[in-house]
Amino acid sequence: MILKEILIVKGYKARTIQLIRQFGTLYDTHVVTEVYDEKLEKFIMLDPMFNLMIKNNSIYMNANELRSSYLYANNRYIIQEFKGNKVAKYNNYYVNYLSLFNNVLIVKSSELIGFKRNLMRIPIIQKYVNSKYYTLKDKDIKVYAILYKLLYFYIPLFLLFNIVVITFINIRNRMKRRN
Amino acid sequence: MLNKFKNIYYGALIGIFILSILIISVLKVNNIWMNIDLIADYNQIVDVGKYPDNNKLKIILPKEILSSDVSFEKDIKKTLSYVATVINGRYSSNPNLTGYQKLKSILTQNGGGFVVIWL
Repeated sequence: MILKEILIVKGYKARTIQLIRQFGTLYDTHVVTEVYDEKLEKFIMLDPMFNLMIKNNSIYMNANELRSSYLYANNRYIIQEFKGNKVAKYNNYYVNYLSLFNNVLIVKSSELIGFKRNLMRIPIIQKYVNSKYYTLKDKDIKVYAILYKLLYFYIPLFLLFNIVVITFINIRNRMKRRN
Repeated sequence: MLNKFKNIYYGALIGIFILSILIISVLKVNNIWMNIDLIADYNQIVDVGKYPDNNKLKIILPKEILSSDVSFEKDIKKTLSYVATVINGRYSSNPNLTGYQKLKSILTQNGGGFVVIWL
């Protein structure tokens, strides 16, 4: 994310990508950065942990292209590591580096700072202020996306509406009784 | 009759509330409680937020990193290598952590506490 901020300061469009090997585990995850290449009209991936970029026929790839290539296209990619003795090596990583690309999520971070970050916990409101992930349409992930919206937005909204209506009716009935 | 219906209705609302909390708890325990939006075009999401004071980075970054090269590819590689070798000290055992510590304090002050974990 530091790389992303530096790239933004330099005037590039950059974003953070969350990689998750398998949903349901917090352990085998990784974060990379992507920067928008105006010439190619697409994002390309940069991994500051291993100081590497991924190429396919001399064109740099993004995380999603690597995912597709790794999963469906017979590994058509070249991992380009740049020199640097002090940088960790991806092939020495504790888990197969490419398996981390099973799930590729674009991270939209919340701009709230300080105590305002607590707003992200409140249902309904959090829809507008919380950090968010974006991913390409996927049947498995669709279930989680729907559940989150349903349980943290639509159901609380429905319950809140009912509470307001019931309270309003009770107050009106009391007023009537008094009169 | 109306009163009986009212009680059933209230019961249903309380039931929905309890059920929601239970499902949320189960999803949280299984680490699948995530705010996800599904998109059709991978490159469409450009505005992903930034730290309000990220211009402070200009104070601490070396000039050669801030100045852009003519070639996009060169510039990106230069910036990537800088972050990987100079700033990223956690995995590289780089004794020169000054840049990393400075960036960490700036980002922490701006609500980016978790950022430094995921360099």
